[in-house]
Amino acid sequence: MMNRIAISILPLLTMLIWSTNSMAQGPSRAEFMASSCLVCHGQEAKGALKIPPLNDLKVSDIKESMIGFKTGEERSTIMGIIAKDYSKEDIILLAEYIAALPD
Amino acid sequence: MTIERRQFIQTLGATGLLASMSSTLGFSLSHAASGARVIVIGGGFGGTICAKYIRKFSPSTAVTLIEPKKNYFTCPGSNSVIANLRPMTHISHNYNKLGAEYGISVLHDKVSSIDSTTKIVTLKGGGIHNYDFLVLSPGIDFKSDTIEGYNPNDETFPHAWKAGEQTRLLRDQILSMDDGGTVIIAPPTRPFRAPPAPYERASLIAHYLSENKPRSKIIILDGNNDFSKQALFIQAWKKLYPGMIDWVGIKDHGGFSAVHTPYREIVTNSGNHFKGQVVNIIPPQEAGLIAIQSGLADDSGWCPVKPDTFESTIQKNIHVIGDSCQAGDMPKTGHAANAEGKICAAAIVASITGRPIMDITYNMSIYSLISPKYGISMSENYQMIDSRITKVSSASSSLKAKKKTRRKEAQYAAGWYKSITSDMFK
Repeated sequence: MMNRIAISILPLLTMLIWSTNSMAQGPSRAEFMASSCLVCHGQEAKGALKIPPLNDLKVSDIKESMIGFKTGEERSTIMGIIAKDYSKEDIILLAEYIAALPD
Repeated sequence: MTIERRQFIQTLGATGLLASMSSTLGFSLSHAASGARVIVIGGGFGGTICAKYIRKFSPSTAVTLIEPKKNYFTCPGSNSVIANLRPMTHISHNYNKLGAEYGISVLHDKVSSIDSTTKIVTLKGGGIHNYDFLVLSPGIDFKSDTIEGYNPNDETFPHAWKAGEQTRLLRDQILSMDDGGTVIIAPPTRPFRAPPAPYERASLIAHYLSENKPRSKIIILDGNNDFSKQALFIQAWKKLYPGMIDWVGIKDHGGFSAVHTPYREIVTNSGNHFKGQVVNIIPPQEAGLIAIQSGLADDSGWCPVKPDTFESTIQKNIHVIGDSCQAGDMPKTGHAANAEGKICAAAIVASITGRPIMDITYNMSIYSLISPKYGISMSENYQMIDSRITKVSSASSSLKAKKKTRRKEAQYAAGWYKSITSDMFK
């Protein structure tokens, strides 16, 4: 009896696991890192008062600015320090994620 | 996950079937279930973020947020209320969207006990709630009996270090003070919540006094011999409020021997009597009461945690974030609590899904207003080095910055407030 229940439920259970798994994946590295940017730049990086939006920028704009902040070539108030410790790979991940946010 | 599915899992679980089948299929129960239940205690800068980001990162995880207040007043921004620059409504927020848009079950109640063995939280209102993961973000509480004659609950000397009614009380005292009166601000010895905030408070009160009661004075009786962004504050005070603010470090006043509330007086160990028409003692602090009562703090009064997950090193499956925890080099600020809330959320979701914890660089910025048009900031980056949250870089506003930059930073401070509170409540 127990076996029959198990067999009849098995396909259902597999489906269930598949669907909950896909729902519970957790953030990508880019999403996790970008959650830091939103603390100042607002939800979906839409900006807040005089803090500029980022979601309307291109990948290359964000990448160039962040590298400019990191090297000190681009002037800023606090972005120079914030950009300093991101690797180039992480800057690219961030730029791609933020540029893809809805305008 | 729909209710039917959850019930389905529970039914299976009850027969023991799921457990036996899951091992056959090679995944763990917690992995499948996402019936994972998380309870977050405390709806401030850490708790709201942790609750919301668990739902964002893992929509199938059930999250309950327990916070007694229906309207939450933020400490950031409260100095502007005290200086009559903003109304109380500016710093007031509610939890409606966390329920309606993020599916968080928000319970306005107090916790009466936590049983870490059975994983049950009992509420004052009688509710009993099971958890798989528990997050405490209870902020700070005040140490009792630290200064003779002083009780943090005595409204004669409002601390205003938890925002709300206390903020209103201190503001009203400042507004009704005579021209020529003295305001005493007494920060405790570090560590305390929001390291630059006592000095921002002095600055903004000075702004109000210089416009309305210019013969008045402010004395800061500090529990420390130096303070956050000191050079920037001193420079700005000389410029904007010359002669109005006196700062006295603890080596010069020796600490407090007694407080005489009826005389509005502080007596120091050096034998001096300081009288103020308004006396704002910022009391010595420790982890929020529920964390202390649950045995999560060590002798320091703060809660030791694992730096990559914020799980307590004292009790498994209980995480402590925000001002209550010991977060390596991270200070006790709203922005730090925000970062900790996200790290903790990602770590809990990683544990549910069986994925590795991500190691990223994160940062914290804190703005202070000297006047509504004069802002300064400090920013720090952190990385995990040798299993410790380590400050890898930091910088403050330049001493040489021009007026235009100070104004810009004041505007950015307002933008930061708008964004971080949206991150929490919208």
